Amino acid sequence: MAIMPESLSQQLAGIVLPDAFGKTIRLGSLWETNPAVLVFLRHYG
Amino acid sequence: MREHQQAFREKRTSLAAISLGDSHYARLFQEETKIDFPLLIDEHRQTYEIANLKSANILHLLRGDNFKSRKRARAAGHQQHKLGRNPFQLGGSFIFGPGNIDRFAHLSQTFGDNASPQTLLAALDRPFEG
Repeated sequence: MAIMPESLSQQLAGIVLPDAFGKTIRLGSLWETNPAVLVFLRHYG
Repeated sequence: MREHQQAFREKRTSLAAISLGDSHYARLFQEETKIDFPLLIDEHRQTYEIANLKSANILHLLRGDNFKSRKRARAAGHQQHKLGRNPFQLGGSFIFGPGNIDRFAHLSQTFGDNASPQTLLAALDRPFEG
């Protein structure tokens, strides 16, 4: 049986990152119920 | 993005940004820009690797499109602060949907090569054909 490759969102969904104030967010929670735009920046500022 | 936040809200779409920088600069950036969507910090570059985001090299600094991007950013009042540990890291923009659906991807090819808010808003309007 062929294994479907994971989508990028699936690969990222479980990753937990802190925000600027130390609060952690699981990435998948951002697009759980509605779409989300995720922008990767080079740096802040 | 900040200027278009309301347009994204009207499309019931949340925004978030990820950077390699540290929390000190993220806080300063958030306070300076008054951005109220999450600014996340990926110190270990884990998500950048998963997303297969590219790195530039020193030759990219000499490209005409990079010069134009810097000029445009300066004209818009943006200043460049500390570059951090990976000054050649390039970014990208993605739209993901419920059920872990990838709806849009733009991987920056050089500095200043970003998907515009208009492009992202248009992508949200397109029916998903997964």
